[in-house]
Amino acid sequence: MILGAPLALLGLLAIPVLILLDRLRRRPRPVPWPSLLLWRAAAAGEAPRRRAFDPLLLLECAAAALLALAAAEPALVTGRLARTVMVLRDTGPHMRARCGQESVAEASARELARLRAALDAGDEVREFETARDLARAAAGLPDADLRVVVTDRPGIGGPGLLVLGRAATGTNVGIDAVQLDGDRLWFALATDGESREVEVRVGARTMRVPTGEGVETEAAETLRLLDGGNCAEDDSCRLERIELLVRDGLGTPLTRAALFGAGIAARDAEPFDLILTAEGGEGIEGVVRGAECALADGLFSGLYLQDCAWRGATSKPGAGLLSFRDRALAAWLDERTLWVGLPFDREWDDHGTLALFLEAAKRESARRKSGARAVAGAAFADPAPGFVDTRGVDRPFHGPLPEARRKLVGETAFRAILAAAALLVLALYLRAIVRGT
Amino acid sequence: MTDRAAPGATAPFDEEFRRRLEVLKRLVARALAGRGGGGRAPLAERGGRVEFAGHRAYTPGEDVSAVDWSAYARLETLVVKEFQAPRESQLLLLLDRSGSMALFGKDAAALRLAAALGWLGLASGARVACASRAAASRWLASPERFPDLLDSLEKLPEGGGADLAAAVQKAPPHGTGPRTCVLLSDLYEAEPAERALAALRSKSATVACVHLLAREELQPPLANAVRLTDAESGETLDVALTREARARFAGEAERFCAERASLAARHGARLVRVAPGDDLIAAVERVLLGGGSA
Repeated sequence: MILGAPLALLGLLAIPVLILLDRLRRRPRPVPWPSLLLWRAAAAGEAPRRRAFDPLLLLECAAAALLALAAAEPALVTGRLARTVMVLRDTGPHMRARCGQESVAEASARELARLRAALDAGDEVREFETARDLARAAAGLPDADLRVVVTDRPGIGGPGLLVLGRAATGTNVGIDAVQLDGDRLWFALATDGESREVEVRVGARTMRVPTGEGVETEAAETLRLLDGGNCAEDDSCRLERIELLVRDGLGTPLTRAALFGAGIAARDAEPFDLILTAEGGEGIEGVVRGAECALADGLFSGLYLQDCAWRGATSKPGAGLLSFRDRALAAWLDERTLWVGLPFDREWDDHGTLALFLEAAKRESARRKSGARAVAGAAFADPAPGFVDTRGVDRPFHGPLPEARRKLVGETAFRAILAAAALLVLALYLRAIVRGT
Repeated sequence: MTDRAAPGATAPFDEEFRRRLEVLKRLVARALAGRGGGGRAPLAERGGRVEFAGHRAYTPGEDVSAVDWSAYARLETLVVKEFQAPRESQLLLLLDRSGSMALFGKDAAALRLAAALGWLGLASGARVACASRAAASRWLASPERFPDLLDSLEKLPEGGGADLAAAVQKAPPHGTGPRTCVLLSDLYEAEPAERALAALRSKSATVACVHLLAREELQPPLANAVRLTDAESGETLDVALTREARARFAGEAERFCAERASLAARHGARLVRVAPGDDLIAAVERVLLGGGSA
């Protein structure tokens, strides 16, 4: 038998308290009296009194003990349940990045094998894979004794909701888009505080959309929109190069949207180069942040920023350090290589993924196209606090395995019996009091 | 339970008490005139007159005003009149002011009863004194001395045991007149009471014994377990007040009262049981005019 709430046994401390109170109650009350003459005479010949057995006290103690036992949730253990382990494997392209001799994915497999070996026979392991939106996938894992997320991402936020869009000409309305899944884009129109309706042009379509609402479009349309005619007649895209012009300070949302849209378009294509030109935007923060999100999704083989004239930033291709507000962000290592500075603070907490991806992208790009390179910075962010245990392969799982849950029977029955017994005892107690015994 | 030190307790001789004494005075006056009650006289004898006893020969040097000149005219010899000393009634109040009397209002009741009796004595021409084991007053006469009697009663020391025999010894020397003595005590200590009664009997005193017992003493308002502390000795006794214990106590109390009545009777004294709270005038009537125990 085990107790589900053994702390409830502290209730047994009520028993000595009851006994103490009884003793205090029985303690003779001092009373001054004119003379003990008559009392002594009355007591003469009386047999010495033994301490009377008090059935009421016994009932009080029994009720307290039974209630404490019932509250302790007693149950019988009849066996042991198999443990369930849920494993979520990140299969994003960045997992193919090699750290020394083995890739991240290989290290993941090795860690998983080690975890399996530590489990008992009969324990159940279920694996899930995702290449995107790791956070949602992790949140959706079934309940288990242990949930493991294998990823190299310091934080498991993943791309999540990304924005995609472009402002209509002549408006000053930011247009964000949310990627719902691989095939659908949902454009949400941010309000500018004045316009109630904006015109959205997606390819050949022109739509007037109330602000705050969205328009659904297809990925292919976005592809055409962004590709500018690089797709063949059969919609198969053979992208090698996308050039985007980001204008007029829409900053992070539009940049992210544009880059991510391009990434979707290129999902089934060979890796391609993205040329991003920013003119008069809100600054390098927005552009770099948008680029980073697209890169984190593993869609580009290389990223080149050229001829940037970001407000407040300076760059000097070949040697210069790109800085903004006294923070080093990126530097051109040579004419075609951008060094992207990695996290300075929590704002950049997803960037470990970016760094690994950039490394992988560099190698891939070097393999396919000589001269296209991106170099990651050296810094990795600390992992953001997750809502499930995150065991990246760079932080092998060494924690103790949870104990298997036990099969318990009779919890409710035991509690009910003990509570009923306690009630019976209390009833007897009240009856005895009413009868004056 | 004790009323000596109880804050706000009623003074023994307050206005209400004095008013009731006036009633008592009228009652006594009727009794002295033969109209009150059907019992015997409140006091056995009364005195106070100077009576002629006889003549004796004049001795030179004596006060010539004592010579009976009428007898000289008849007998032609100087003779002197002799008078018998006045035979005054005396009332001695012996109070037990021991620790046991301090509980349940017995001491205050004893003081009031003694004062009432003293008033009666003074109003009927008797000399009155009071005494306890540790002190005694002088003989007082005439109703005008009643305040002095009250003062003397209040000044009788409290505490200690109930040595009534010592109180008898402390009492002022008595005169030749008839004497009445009233003992006021709870009579828990039998031996001193017996010695006191014996001493009084040897002095030919008429003795009334007021047995002061509170109702609570005979029917204790207690429950469960108590630790009783003797008011005089400080001894303690743990008592469980079961039904059986109460029955035994009631039997002992009854026996105690009977024994004290027997003790008084053996010494020719009349015992009257009085409880604090009893009607004062009725209690005085029972003490002086006779009547059964309460």
